[in-house]
Amino acid sequence: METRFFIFLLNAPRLLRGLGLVLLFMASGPTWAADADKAAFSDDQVIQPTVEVHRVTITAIDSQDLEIGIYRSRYITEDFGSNSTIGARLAYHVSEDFFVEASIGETELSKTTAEKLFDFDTLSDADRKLSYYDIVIGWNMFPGETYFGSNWAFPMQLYLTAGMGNTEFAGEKRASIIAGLGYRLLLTDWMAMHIDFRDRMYDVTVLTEDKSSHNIEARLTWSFFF
Amino acid sequence: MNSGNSFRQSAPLRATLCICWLAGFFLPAGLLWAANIQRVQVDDAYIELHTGAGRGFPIYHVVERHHWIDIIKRKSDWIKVLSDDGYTGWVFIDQMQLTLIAPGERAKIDAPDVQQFQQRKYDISIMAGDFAGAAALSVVLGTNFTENLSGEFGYTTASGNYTNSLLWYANMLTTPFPDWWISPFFSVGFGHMKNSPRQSFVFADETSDLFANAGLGVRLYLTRRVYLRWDVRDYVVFINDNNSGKFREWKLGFSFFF
Repeated sequence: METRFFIFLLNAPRLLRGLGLVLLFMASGPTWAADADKAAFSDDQVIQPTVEVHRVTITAIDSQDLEIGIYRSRYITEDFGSNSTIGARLAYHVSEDFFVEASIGETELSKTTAEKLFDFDTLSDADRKLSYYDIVIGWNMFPGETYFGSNWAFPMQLYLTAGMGNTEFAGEKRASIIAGLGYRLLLTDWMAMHIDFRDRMYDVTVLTEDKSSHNIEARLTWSFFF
Repeated sequence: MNSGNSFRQSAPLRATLCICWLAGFFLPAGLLWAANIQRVQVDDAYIELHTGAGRGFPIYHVVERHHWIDIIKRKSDWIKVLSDDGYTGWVFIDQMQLTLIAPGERAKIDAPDVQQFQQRKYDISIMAGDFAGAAALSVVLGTNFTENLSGEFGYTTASGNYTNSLLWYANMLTTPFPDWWISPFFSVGFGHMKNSPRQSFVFADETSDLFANAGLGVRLYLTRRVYLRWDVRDYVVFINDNNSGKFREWKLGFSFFF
């Protein structure tokens, strides 16, 4: 008669084979994982997860940091009235915030009130020619946009200027301090219109008296970037 | 009426203004001809297009990752680009550094820095100061022969209470420590000085004399193409065989290198 024990003995080899396989699998697991870990950090790995990045310098970009312009201005010379001036300017934009500008201009002084009233001349015609040049540093303090109607918007900048220069008239040169405020309207990338006001300060001697002279200039400038 | 007379009588000024007026017609065409369009791909999440070349101008369009843009021109640290959907705008240079020319090749836009300052070839300086008690304004053009040796050519105008002076000079400069943040230098040179007494005070003739000068100064790199320069200089003016004059000058100003 077949007992449960006898049935177990008959199936034992199959059971033992299965148990052996399980034990074998468990023993090789850590080894297999270790091999997998080794494979992950192996130099012989087939797939490289990172791409080497090269930097290529772009050098040939058209740069427009220089600005050249011509202007017409009204120059108010203390004691000598208001006169039209014509001049030119050259600016270099160091950054979006700062620029350096050099300008030259020339005008002719009119008669003083006393000269008109009493019909005499204190200066000859040659001495009435006033010429100046100055170098200023500008700060673009308020960039923004100006709107014309509902369809047009132009970039603009409000800027301050300060610098030094020379003013020559009556046969003498005078070191000048310049301070000003300007408005730049960028009509296109390469063309701009400026309206700016400058105070040119220098010392003058009238007969035997020294005084500090303030001379205001109001400019309208047309300039081009290149 | 007065301005008309001054314009007619000033030939150099007329010539300068005519050149500027004519250049205004030809410069824009020249710019189009010289434009070098380069194409890059956006690798950042997006880049922002401003209406003008400055952070104060509004952002009106963005270009997303993997889209291509054309580089048109540059103003200081801002690059004008054209997107594929037809929008043009200005992008800050730091954002442009996150674009690709080709897969694996990141674009690098040339930006002036302290390394370029140490390898500069030419510079121009604008300085103001004092020349023997007179207010002085100077413009100096310099060139570097090596990182330690350079030459310069300068022009100074000094307006004093009694005289006005014009100086032209050529100097050699040596910089022993060009890698220092505040870099000292020494200079020697010679030049020519013209003195014009102010006739309101001094009834004397104009004089012209040669001089030699020696000085020292420092350079301090600030940002981009700008550095600060200060120098002090002693002049020995050769008036005649038995007489010489000595003057001291100090100047402070900004220099721009290329």
